[in-house]
Amino acid sequence: MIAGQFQKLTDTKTYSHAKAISENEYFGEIGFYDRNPERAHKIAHSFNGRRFGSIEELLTSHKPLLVSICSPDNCHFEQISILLDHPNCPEIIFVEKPVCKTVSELDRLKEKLVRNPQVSLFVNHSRRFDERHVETARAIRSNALGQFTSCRMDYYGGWEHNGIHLVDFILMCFDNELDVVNASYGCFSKYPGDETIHLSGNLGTGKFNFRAHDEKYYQITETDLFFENGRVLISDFGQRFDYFEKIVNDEVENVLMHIPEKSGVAMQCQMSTAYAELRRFLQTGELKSLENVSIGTVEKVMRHVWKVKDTYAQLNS
Amino acid sequence: MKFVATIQARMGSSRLPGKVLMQAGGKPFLQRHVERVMMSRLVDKIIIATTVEPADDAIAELGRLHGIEVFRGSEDDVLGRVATCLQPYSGWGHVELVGDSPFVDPQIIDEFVGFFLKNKETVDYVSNGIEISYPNGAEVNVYSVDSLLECDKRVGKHNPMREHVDVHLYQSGLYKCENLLAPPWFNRPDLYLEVDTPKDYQVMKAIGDHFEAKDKKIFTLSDIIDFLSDNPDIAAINQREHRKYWEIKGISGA
Repeated sequence: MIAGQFQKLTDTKTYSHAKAISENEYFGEIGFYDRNPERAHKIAHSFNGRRFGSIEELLTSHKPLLVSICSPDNCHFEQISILLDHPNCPEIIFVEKPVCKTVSELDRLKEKLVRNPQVSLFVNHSRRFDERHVETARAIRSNALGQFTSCRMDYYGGWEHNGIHLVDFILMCFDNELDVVNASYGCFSKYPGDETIHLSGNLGTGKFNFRAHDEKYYQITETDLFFENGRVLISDFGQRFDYFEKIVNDEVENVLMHIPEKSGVAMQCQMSTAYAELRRFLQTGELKSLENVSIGTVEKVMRHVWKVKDTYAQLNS
Repeated sequence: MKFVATIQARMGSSRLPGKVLMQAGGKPFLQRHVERVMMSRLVDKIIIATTVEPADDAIAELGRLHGIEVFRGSEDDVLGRVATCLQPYSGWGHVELVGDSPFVDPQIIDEFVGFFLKNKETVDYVSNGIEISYPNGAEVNVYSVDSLLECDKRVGKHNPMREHVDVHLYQSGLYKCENLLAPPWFNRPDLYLEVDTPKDYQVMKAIGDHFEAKDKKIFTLSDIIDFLSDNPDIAAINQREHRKYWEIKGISGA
């Protein structure tokens, strides 16, 4: 496992990965690498794992079956490349999103994967490992809520870094891509060159409106989807789902009724689901749901994220 | 296994004298070449293999300025020149590069070195130059230094083919060769990223100038392909040039 840069041990992606791996009895000893040896030592100690001084050392002496990459976004491509070029490349590389930062890097990754057919690369597009998100996407695709009319999404923290979640979920739910009509600057993010941008336009039969928020005030991730016959409100960073269905009230007006039995919490165990899926894949070789986080699907998401960014640049040049 | 990369470079050229030190985007091609190879993660050492000719003093000076080792040997016996410079590196791997192709992609180098390392029990020579599928000028040849030292001994000192290096590995039939074909998105053998003729220079200068203007110090093969796809008039400038290596590779002229 390659650990990323983290400050508070229990509040990081690295910790979530390590916890999910350690709770899955299929996986044996966990190895950690971090550019900062002290951090690596700390997390290795917490999970009774081994700390390595370099990725090379980790691959050579630990010979891992699976390597998870939870480092800063701009390190992902380089670290995947190191793994894919190494004779002891693991069978599975599981990387935090985004898988890479540019089209050039994506092209090169695909080429490297062609040369290494024994290696599978999966990207942690976490909503794809969450049952509620998957079920909601299925319901929307099956037209269970009627025709799509509009959606509002509120986000923070950079279009590429966090907007990717919006695009990913949109592509989970719809065949159509975002047709951006308006794009404007929202605020800077802490990720260099990755502004948080306001976007609006058309999405299939409806309209969309993405609103950028400055995290110096607070962080927010909310999705509100409206259909002919209902509404789905996903709040609290994807952790809360509220379903509403259209009813006709006693004054013969169409109103939305909250459906408690369809509402509830989400994103509670997506990391352990991910590792359970990875385990199943190692044991059976069957992709199943992992196909949705493999390079083919991820490429569609990434290309769409970059396309929107290009549109933003064109509209504001 | 450690890897040494050699860049064969000389000022003498019948079609474009002084080509390796011509400038694109404010820098000599050879300097750009070295900077790109330095971006490779898996190359441990770089040597510029030039000649003892006085005209090549300028190449030696460029190497000195940038702290790159320069080996000077025969102008015509290129095999001998490269083999002699590699003698201290027995046991290492060799990444063979030519000065005519300064825009080689460091990521291709790493990928091919990685492929060689993973398959060295079954493969002696990895290249994308036996059958051209990547843009011309993106060639990378990877093999062991010891294989080349063997070739140097096998090929007679008066054999005119000693002006070439890797050809002796893939044409001898003694080595297991693997030609890596480009995936579809890099499959552009119609593009020429070489600097061998005045028209090549026009194209290569346009590429270098374009990325320098964008302040992009290291541009990838994808970047170059995108640029030439967006500017087909530039790509077309050198597409009908005759290439000397066509005879060696058995390619008929366009």
